[in-house]
Parts: sequence; C-alpha cells; structure tokens
Amino acid sequence: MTGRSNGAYPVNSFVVRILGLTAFGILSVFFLLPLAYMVVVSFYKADPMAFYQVAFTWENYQKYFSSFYLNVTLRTLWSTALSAVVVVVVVLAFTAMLTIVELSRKWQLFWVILLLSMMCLSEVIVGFSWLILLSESAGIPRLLGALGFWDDPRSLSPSFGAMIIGLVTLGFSVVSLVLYPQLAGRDKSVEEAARTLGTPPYLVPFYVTLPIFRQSLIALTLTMFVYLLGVFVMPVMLGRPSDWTMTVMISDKALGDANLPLGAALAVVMLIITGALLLLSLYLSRKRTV
Amino acid sequence: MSELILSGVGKRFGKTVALADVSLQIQSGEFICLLGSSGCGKTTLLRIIAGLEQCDHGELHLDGVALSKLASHKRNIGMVFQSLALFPHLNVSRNISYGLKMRGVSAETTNARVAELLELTGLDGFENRSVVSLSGGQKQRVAIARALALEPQLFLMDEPFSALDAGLRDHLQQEVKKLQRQLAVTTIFVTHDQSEAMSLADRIVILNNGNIEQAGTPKEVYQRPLTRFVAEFIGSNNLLDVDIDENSVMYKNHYLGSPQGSVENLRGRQTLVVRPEAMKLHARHDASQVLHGTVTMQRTVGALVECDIDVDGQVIKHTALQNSDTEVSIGDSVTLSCDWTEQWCLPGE
Repeated sequence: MTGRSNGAYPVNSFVVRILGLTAFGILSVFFLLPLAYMVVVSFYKADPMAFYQVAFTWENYQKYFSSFYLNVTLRTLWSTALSAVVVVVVVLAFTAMLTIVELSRKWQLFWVILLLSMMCLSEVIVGFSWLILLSESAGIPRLLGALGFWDDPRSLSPSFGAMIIGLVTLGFSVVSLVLYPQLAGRDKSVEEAARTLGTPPYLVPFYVTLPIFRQSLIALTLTMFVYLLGVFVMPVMLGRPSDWTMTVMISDKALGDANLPLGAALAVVMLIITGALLLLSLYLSRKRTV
Repeated sequence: MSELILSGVGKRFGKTVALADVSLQIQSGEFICLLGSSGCGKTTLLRIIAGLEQCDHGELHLDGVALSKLASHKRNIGMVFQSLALFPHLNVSRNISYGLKMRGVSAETTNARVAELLELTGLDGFENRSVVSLSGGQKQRVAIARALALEPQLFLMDEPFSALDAGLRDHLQQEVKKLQRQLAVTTIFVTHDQSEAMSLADRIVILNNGNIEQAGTPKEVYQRPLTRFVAEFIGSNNLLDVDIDENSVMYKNHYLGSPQGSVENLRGRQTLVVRPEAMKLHARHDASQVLHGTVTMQRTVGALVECDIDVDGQVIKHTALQNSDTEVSIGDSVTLSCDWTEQWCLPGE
C-alpha cells in the first residue's frame, strides 16, 4: 500500500502547498512588494515637499557614481567586512567558543546564558555602553591614565575603531551561539589523531579545526557581513561622520533630506553590490577536498 | 623492535578509578588485545600510551625511553581511533601523508610511502577520492594506512571495527592480522568483543575495574582462567563449588570422583570451571552418572545446540554439535557426564 493510494500523500502534499503558499505570501507582502516599490521610487524625482514626484529619471543613480557615494560604499564594505571577519574568525567567536566548549558543563551554561543576554540587549544600549566605556571621563582612557599607561587620556569615541568595536559586539553573541553546538559536538578524536601524527597541540586548530570548519566560518562571515551592512545605530553613535556607512547615508538622504528617490537608488545599488559580493564569495568558497 | 613496559600505571577521573595499578610487559612484534567490558579502563590505558591522557602514577617505557616525558606528537605511535578520525577536508592521499609532512619527510619519500601504503591496504586508485565518499571498509583502510605511514614503534587500535557489520568485520580482522605479521609492528588492539580478541591476539589482557585480571594466550585465558571474572567473561562457563578431600570431589552431595589430575593436590572448597562443551548429555536417566537435571532452555545457534539444565537449583550450560546423537526437549529429565577431575579449578578461590 503506497502513501498515494491510501490518501496520505495527497493530504501531505496539500498541507505542504498551503504552507509554501503562505510563506510565499508573507515573503511577497513583507519583502518583494517593498523592494519593488523601492526600485520604482528610485527612478522618481525628488520633491522636498512630498518626498517624491512620479517621473522616470536616472538622476539618482548618476548621483551615486559621484566620488562621495563611491567612497562611502567602499568604506561601508571595508568596515563591515572587517567587523564580520573579526567577529567570526580572527579574534572572538571561534577562539572564544573553542575555549568555552572545553569548560565544565556548569561554566558552559554560564557563558551561553551570558551570550543570550548580550543578544537580547538593544543596539542602543550596547552603543551607549561602549560610549561610556570609551569616554574620557568615566571609561577605559581614564583607567589607562590612572594606571600610568596613558599620559594624556582622551575619549576614544567617536572613531573608526570605536565603530568597529560596536559592530563586533553586536555580531559576537549571535555568531558564538551559532558556533557553540557545532564546536561542542565536534569529533575531538580528529584533533587527537593530528597530535598522534606529529602536530604540536598549538598548531592543531590551524591545521585541523579551522580547515574542517572552513565552510561554516565562511557562511557565518557572509551572514555577519550582510547583517552588519544594515546596522544603523553603531556608526551613528560610535563613528565619526567620515566613518558613517551607507545605511546611515541612505537614512540621512531619505529621512533627513526628504529625498526618498535618492535614498531608494542608494539602497538598490547597495543591494546589487551586496548580492554580487555574496555570489562571488560563495563561488570562491566552493567546497573542495585537497 | 619495540618493547613496551608499563609499571604501576594508574589514572583517576574525579572519584572514579579508571586504572588502578596496571603493570604489563609487551614484547616486540606482539599483537596484544586489551579486552574488557565498557568502563573497565582499556581505552584509558590506550590513550595514556598514546599520550592523549596523563597517568596519575606509574611509568611507561618504550624501548627504554620514558614515555611520560614525551608529548603525544613526539611519540612515534600510530593510532586508529574508534571513530577513525579521518581528516574530512583532505583526500585519501593527503590523509595518509599528513604525518609524514608533519615530520618534515621529503616529498619524494612521502609519495613513495603513500603509494606503498595504498597498495598494501588495497586502496590503489583511491588516492584522490574524498574520504567522506568512501565506504566504511575503505575508511578503515585509510585510517590504518595513515597510522602506519610513520612506521610507528607501536600501533594502537581502539575498537576500530565496532561499527562495521559482521562480514566486513571478519574480513578486516584477517587483513589487520596479516598486515601486522607482515610489518611485525608491536600492536595493541582494544576490543570488548572476545571472539575478535581470540581470533587476533597473540596475548589477551583482560581488564576489569581498572585492573588486569589475566594476561595470556587466547588458549590460556579460555582453558585456564585465573579468576572468577575471567571464567565468567570469556566464553560461557559453568562454575561449580566443590569440596575436595583426600578421597573425593563432592558437588552438592554428588560424588564426582576421586581427586586426580588438575585437582589432585587441592583440598577444601574449590571452584571447578567446566566448559559447556566438556560435558556429555544423556537423554535418559542413567544411574551410573552423577548429575541429573531437567532441560529448561534449548536453542540452536548455527551448528550448535545450547541447553540449560537445572541441577539441584543451579543452571548448568551444555553445548553440543547439532548432529549429536542426543536430542532433548524442554522439560526432559537428563543426565550429565564428564571427566570432572580433568576440569580446571580457579586458583585461590
């Protein structure tokens, strides 16, 4: 008796189709329609009194290719890519989680709860916390001055570094919690095998662990890159105007200058660039066995 | 030629004693099986030898060199892990050559060694395949080739065949034994499967609660168990508590014979170890025989027929070939005969 003949298959198929159509409907209403609207508006003319005037013009896109917006684009890509790489691989999440999964269950739980708490904090609270910590009067500069490491302590924000710190903080808890189950459940005997084959313990993460997690790390870096591209509060709170990312510029143009068509055109171009970069990264990081 | 000497090796995990006080000498070229049930300490001992765990006390010497002073990556020990632990990001050839590259062996020598091992393990033509795409048996061969690439002084295997089906396991057991004889590498093989240990080992070391119960050839541990644990663990034994004096060997008021053979010089309460296949079963009550009972279970396992016979409240196991003249059914009254005085008595029991 097959699933089709006893009627189970058509019922399942019907449920799957309904669920699929629902998902497609939600996607259309909340993503595709606003996107289409944004693309259409990007060809309208700016009208400070009414946000836009219905027309068809390339003017907004021509403005993008002025050196100012190109510079902002490059700066945005650089700062978010840097933050994404830092948060995922170089310093924090991967190495931190490699250490945390070696702790006792009790301490692992403590760190997971702490990371979850961090993830629950709003961007504004995280930004303000760093603003205080990096300020001249109450934060790290003052502490360094008191300890004699800094003769002339000054506020460390706003700055490019402060903005990167803010972005990294936002991404850290998310990436760590994604990596936690993968690292905790990994087969440690692979690393032990590397040791018995002559790899010094301090080189095992570089020769074995990192290469094994290469695909996950690339996927996480790309995810973080896309996530951090859209972050608005951190660049505004912790960065200088010269450090502001395209997200801030888009918001500034669309809401501050009431130039919705230019904001929409900038957003469309950023979307295309991000998509192209993601496709390129995925192509370059195809899984290969060497 | 590599001789391993373990002296008083002990290890605790918190309050749990994994290894109590293990001393063992393993001769060069010997194939040793560490046999025991789960948690008996066999894998811990293997990991201590490999340098993946530190012992709390005791000494390990490999060819006179104290191993406890050497980190795992500096010991020339090849190990096959239970999970095989192949590097999933490397192909077959690079998995095998990994250790050689770590030790700075030249590319030319490495390539020659890899080719030799591929041939030896029957993996010719698989060198560029991803290890992820290999079958279970092929993965085993890669793990073995990788461990042997450095021509290790010691070859360790931690239950490598436990996840394989019976047919493939038998086949690989024979291949490993052949390979070990061919290379004459001192090998320690951990298993909880006594038939695997019996078929592979030159010597079996039986562990229980972190202690060595007995170390001996498969024949010795099967026929001459030194402790009650070994007698019960290896194969299927009947342990009969007998009283021996100058004139008789008595079991529950049954006269088994006069003390002679292996029990000739023993006196008092002893434990007689009787193999199920050492007894004969008589379907009819025979007054000349001494043990009478009732068949409570019968099952056919391949060519053998196994029976449980209730004798005065104690279940005695009996095994015979299926084409045996004697055929019985559950509930039948039967008689057991045996040359009782030729059986083995547990020393010190």
